[in-house]
Amino acid sequence: MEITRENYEAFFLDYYEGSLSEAQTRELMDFLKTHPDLKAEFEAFEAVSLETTLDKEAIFPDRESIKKPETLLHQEPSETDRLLIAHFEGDLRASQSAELLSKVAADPTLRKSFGLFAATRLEPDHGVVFDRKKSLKKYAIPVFSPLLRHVAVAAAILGFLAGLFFLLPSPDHNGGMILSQTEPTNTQTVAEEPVREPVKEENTTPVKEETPSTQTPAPVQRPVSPPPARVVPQSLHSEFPAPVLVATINALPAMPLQPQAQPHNITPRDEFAWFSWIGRDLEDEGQEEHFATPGTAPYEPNYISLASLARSGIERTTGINFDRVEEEIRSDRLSFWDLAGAGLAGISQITGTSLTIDKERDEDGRITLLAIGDRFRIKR
Amino acid sequence: MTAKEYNLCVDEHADGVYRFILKNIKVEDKARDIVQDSFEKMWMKVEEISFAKAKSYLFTTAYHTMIDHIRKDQRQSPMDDVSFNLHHTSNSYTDLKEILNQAVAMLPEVQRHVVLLRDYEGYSYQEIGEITGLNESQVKVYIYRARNFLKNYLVSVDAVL
Repeated sequence: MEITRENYEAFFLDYYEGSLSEAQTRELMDFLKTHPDLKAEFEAFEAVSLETTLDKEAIFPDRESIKKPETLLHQEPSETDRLLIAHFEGDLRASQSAELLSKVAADPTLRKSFGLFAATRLEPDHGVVFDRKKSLKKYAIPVFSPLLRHVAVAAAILGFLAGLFFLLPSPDHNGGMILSQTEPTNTQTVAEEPVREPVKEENTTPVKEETPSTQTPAPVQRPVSPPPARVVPQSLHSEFPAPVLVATINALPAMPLQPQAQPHNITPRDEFAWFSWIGRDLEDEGQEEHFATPGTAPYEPNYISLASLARSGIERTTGINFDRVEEEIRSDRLSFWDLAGAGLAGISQITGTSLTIDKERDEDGRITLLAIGDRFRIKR
Repeated sequence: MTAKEYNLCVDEHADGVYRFILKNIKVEDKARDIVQDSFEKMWMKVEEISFAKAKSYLFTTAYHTMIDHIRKDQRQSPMDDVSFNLHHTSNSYTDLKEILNQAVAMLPEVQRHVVLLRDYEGYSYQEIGEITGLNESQVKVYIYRARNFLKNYLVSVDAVL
C-alpha cells in the first residue's frame, strides 16, 4: 500500500510499534522527505509510543491479593448439601427430613456436613440495642373533633364572660356600680396625702397644682373632697421595705380607695373610669378625660401597668379595640351580649373558627333564641 | 396506625432493625442514622400503614435506605476494606461466632442481606422478597448459596487451623 497524506498516521503508528517491514520503513522515510511538514507529527507519535512502553512496564504488584475466591462464592451446593440446607430452612416435608436424618446418622461424612450447616445459622447479638429509642417516639398532639372544638370554644367564651364578670364591679340595686371598701383592721397609717390646693385653670387646659399660677388672671376653683388617708395592712410591712411600700401606695390611684365604711355609689361612667385606668399608659397621660367620681383626686399615672400591657396584648391578638368598646359602653349602646359577641369574635380569631352569637327577639325586644354556631341553641 | 402503636413499633423493632443494619454496614453512627431515617419515613406515612404491616414496612425502608448508603459509600471508596484472602485472617479467630461473622462479612451483599433477614428476623422467602425486591426463587437461591459459602468457609478455616 502506498503511503499518502490520507493514510500516513497508520504507518507512523506501525513504525513505532515495529511492525513495518524494511521496505515499508524506507518508503516511510522517503515520504517524510517529500512531506517535511509531517515530520513534527511523526515525532509526536514517538511520544505516544513511549507512554505505551511505560504502561507495559507498570504492573500492579499484588494482583493476587485483590482476587476474590471464586470457588467459594460461586460454588453451587451439591445435591446432598442442598438437601441439608433445605432441612435447616424448613423446606423439606417431614418424611423427607426423616429420611435425610437417617442417612446422616449412618454416614460420618454427611454427619460432619450436617454439623457445619447447623453452625451456619446466625444468631443476633441481643446485647446490641438501639439506644435512641426515646428520640424516635412521638407524642401526638390531640386532634379535636369539630364537636370538641365547639365545646372548647364554648368553654373559652364562658371563661371570657366569667373574666368580665369578675373584672367589672357588680351593679347595686339602683343600677349603679358598687365599689365596696370595708375598713381594714390592724392597719397602720403610712402617709397623709397633702391636701390639694384648688387648681387654677386657664381656659380649658388643666394646670398641675405644682405649677405656679401667676399668669392666670381669674383662677377657677374646682371642688375637691378631702383626700383619704392611705392605709396599709400591717402584714405588708413584713414583706416590703417601708420606702418601697410608701412609694407604691402613693402611686396607686386615689379613686378606688375610699375611707368611708359605707359603699360608695358610682355611675356606669365611674365604672369605666376604673376600666380606663386599667388600660391607661404613659401615652395617655394628661390626654384622656378623667371619669372619676366628682370629688376624688384625678388619676395621674406615671408608669406602665401590667394591666396596660395585657390590654395592648389582647388588642393586638384579637383585634378588639377597647377604646371603642369603652366608648360604646359610655354611650350605653353596648349590651352584655355585645360584649360577649366581641369576646367570641376574638376567640374565633384565635381558634380559627367563625362563630358568632345569633339572637332572635320577640316583639318586646326580649331575646327568645340564643345560638352559638350551629350546635348550641338556647330557646326561651 | 396510631401514635401509640408507632411507639410500640419503636420498642419492638428498633433493636432488630439496628442489628440488621449494623451487621451489614458495620458503622454504628451510620446504622443509627439509617434507623432514625427509617422510623421518620414510617412516621410520615403512619396513617397509611397498619400496625400488622409496620415491621415489614420498617425493614423494607431500612433496607433501601441502607442500600442507598452503601451505593453512596461505594462511589466514594470503591475498594472494600474486607480482604478476601482467607489466609490473612485465619489465625485471629477465637471461636465459631467470630469465624461466622467474618464469613458473613465476605458474603456478596445481596446474599448477606437475605441470610440476615432470614436468621435474625425469621422472615419467610416471600417476606424477604418483598423487602428486597427480589422474587421468592431468587431469595431461596441466594440463601442456599450463602449457606453453602458459610459452610465451605468453616471447612476451609478448619483446614487452616
